[in-house]
Amino acid sequence: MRWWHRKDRERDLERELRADLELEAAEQAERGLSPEEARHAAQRAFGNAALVAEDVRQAWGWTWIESCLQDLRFGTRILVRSPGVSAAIVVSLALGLGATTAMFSLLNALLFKALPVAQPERLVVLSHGAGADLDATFPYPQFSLLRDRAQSTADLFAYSAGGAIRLRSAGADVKVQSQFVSGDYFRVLGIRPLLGRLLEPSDDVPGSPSAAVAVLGYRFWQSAFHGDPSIAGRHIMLDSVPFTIAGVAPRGFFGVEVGAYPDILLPTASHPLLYPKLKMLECKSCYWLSIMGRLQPGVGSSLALANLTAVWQPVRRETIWESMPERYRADYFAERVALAPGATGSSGYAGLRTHFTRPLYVLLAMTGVILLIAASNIANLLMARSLARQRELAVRLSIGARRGRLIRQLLTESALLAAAGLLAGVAVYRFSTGSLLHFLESRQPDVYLDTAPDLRVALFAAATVLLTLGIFGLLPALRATRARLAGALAESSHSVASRSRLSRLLLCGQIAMSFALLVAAILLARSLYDLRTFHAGFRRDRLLVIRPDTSQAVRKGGQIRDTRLVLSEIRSLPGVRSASASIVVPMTGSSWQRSFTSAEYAGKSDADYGCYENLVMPDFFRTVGTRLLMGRDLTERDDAAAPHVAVVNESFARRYWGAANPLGKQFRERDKPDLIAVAGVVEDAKYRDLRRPAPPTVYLPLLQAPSTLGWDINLEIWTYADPQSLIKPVRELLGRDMQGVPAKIQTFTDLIDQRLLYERLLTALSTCFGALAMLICGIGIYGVAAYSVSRRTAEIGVRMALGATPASVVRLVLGEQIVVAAAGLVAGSAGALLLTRFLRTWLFGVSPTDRLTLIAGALCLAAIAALATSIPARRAAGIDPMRALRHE
Amino acid sequence: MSTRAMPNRSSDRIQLLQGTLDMLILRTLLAGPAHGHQIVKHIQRTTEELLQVEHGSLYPALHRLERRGWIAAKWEPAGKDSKREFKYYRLTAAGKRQLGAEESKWKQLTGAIARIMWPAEEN
Repeated sequence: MRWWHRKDRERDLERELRADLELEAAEQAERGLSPEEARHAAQRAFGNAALVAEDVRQAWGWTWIESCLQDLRFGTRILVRSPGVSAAIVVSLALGLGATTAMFSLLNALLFKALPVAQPERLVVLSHGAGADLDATFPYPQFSLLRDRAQSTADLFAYSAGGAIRLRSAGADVKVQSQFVSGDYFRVLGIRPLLGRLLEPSDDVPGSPSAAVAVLGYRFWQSAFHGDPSIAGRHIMLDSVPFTIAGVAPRGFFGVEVGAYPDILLPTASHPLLYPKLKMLECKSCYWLSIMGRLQPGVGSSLALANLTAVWQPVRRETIWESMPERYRADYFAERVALAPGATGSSGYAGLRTHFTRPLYVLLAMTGVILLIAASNIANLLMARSLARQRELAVRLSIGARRGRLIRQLLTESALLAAAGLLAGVAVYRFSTGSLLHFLESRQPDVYLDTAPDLRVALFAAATVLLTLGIFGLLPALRATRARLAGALAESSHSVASRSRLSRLLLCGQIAMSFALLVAAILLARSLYDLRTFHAGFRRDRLLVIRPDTSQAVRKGGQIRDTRLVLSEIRSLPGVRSASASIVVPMTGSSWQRSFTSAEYAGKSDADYGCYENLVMPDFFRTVGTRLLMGRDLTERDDAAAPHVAVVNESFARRYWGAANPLGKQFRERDKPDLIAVAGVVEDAKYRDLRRPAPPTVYLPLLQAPSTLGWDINLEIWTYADPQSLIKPVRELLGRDMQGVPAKIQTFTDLIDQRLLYERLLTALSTCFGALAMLICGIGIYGVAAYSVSRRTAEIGVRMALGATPASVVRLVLGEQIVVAAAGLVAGSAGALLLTRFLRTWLFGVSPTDRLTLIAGALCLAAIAALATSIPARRAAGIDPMRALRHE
Repeated sequence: MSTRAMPNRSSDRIQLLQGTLDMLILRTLLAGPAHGHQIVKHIQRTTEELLQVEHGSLYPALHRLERRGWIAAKWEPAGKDSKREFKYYRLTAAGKRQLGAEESKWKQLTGAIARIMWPAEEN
């Protein structure tokens, strides 16, 4: 017997039962009963034929598979019968699930995923410091001594991001992200080469010419060399130093720093070849290497820490920086060495983990709320449907179906929905992870996150689905099958108060959560708008910024003259309103700081003298749009031969001279005698952070700066029209003037937007989430209202028959929803306050309890609710009393 | 599923031991093939209506025995001249062995029960 022969057996059983029943009837008839009576008597003798058949089926075995199949078939039929509701459920589940899983998978990649190396749990990260203030970088001499002396405890290796290097080879001329690694790096991590060989300790001998070897990262090998299999042994030029490619690291190996993916790995010993002047291998005060290690077998982390601590102080003594001022020595020796687990890699300097973790948690919370909204929708829709089927269920219960069986049937339907939702959710997840990463990568080119789904992500998704449908599918099932047979059969579909109470409660919760999300989205959007538009002391649009990478150029003494020349040429370009140059471009994140003092000023601590500084060419303030409040701008005449002058901002003037007129007042650098006179005062302009108040800032003439400048000089151009249109002519002009020095040319708006990456990400996503929440909520409101109207069709019919006007019917339907919506909004306000507390870091110029935002959000939701209710309300108004009364 | 002995005039039901019905069915079929109705009637007649076999128990038992291979079923006409077909069950070789086993088990059981219930008769 095979269960798939079921149909035949089913027919066979029916035939057998019928034959025996007829025989029984025939025998009864022989006893003299009428055919009718005989049939009844036979049936009595047989009992409940359906139940007999069911019992026989159980005897067949396989029943659970069969009944599951039955459930599936039946469930599919039921779901297909109301495609709208089913689609609504699947879509809300898919959206909630996909978005939540996408956020989780990013968090997973950022925080939880183990490094793609052998036994990552044996890895440790070293740091040093006093108290909780730890530094994770070390000078090379300290590393090499630690490595040699801690060998019995752990195999230590070091690495450091090397920044962008120009790589030239046959057919390739690109900028690459380099990383310096110690010779043991690959061996300790247990990485095998994909091609050629990896770096070995013999490559990493300082001073040896054999250090000029490089290992390519898989991704770079693919993108720059198209996966050329004969790459090992190829000669390349790195910043005009010849190197040889040793091999290629395996696919998926991105190093030990989460968020980064170096293109090329070089031995630390090759650092002097590329940067001979820095002498990083001898430098005892240059903290540049991160150290990680693999604990030796049998060494626990506490033993390892004890051993390392024993080695630490002697190493520090031997590698102390000879000219360290006496006052720093106590602090230097107070520092301890610390160990942290390294299985998930180090946070590194890519900054992704540091900056992205909190926004991701907020986004995960938001998607969680979306999921909850979707889940209550699902519960409501399922409940409405199961109520519509109340009679069916009651009938089935009364003819002997077990409650468990019915619950299973309803749960099977939920499972079907779950499966469909899961499939669609995977699509949503893939799409949203992909586009999020794309968003990040397009703005922050070096970012790399390995978001390939792993077991943890799969478990998260599975748990989410199970919880969602377990709770929100079981609830309606339990309610629907609650044995109230007589009641359910008799009262048909009238007033099932408790159900509608629960559904209203769910709806209320939905509205509350949507409202909270909406308020968060509006607050973030307003903050972003403010951040982008408020007057920060410089103009936002029609400004082009050119940042040449002069570290690449041959640095001549005559650079400033060149700058003057370049500026005059740029000024003659059509469409240029004015142009200037500066050492620091506001909002790039770089800063110059020095301590200044004046005869009138007495600060208490060192911090009281700290000022921000910029060196600028004439016309800087007019070009960037910083208003001159007093005195004059710097001019061409303020050159090396003229007396030292400066323009200061209001904060600077206030700090050093209070309310007195600062013009003509003198100040000097704290350790130097040269006096500088204030020539002009400009308004406060933000320096590198839009959120912080402008610091006291000094603008010194670039023309008076010492001639040994090796710094990048940036250009600013104020244009008449769209600055984008000037990029090309400016690039052509610079190509002639700056002899192939690469320059980054972008509009100031783009530059600031780059700084606002996480705000933009949060705003964009939370706006999406807010809209999504409204959509799902709207569907929910519509569903409940439509259901309520169909449930009350007869009642409304009676009312209309008794003279109620269509308008009053609409009021009746709307009124019901308005109460729910109002309650939801009140609850939502509380939720919004809770949610926006976590947003405070990203808010700007608007308080989390902003009344206008709350009102706007409430209006928005009220509009959605009204819209969603108006359709069923209109239907209610159009009810024909005669038809409605016949409806039952 | 259980076999219930139903005293004719009493509504009290005596629950018989599990598996007894299977044995009774096998024993009935030892006489020759029979269909469900015949099996019921045979058991009732032989026990002078003391044992009432419910259809609700009979058919599941028949199908269970068939699944175990102790009986086999075939649709056959009731007689040579009859057109009506019934599902006739007959004992298989395995069924005969099973019947033997059940019989001896039953004998041991009743013997044991008898020794406890009526120890005097033992002597």
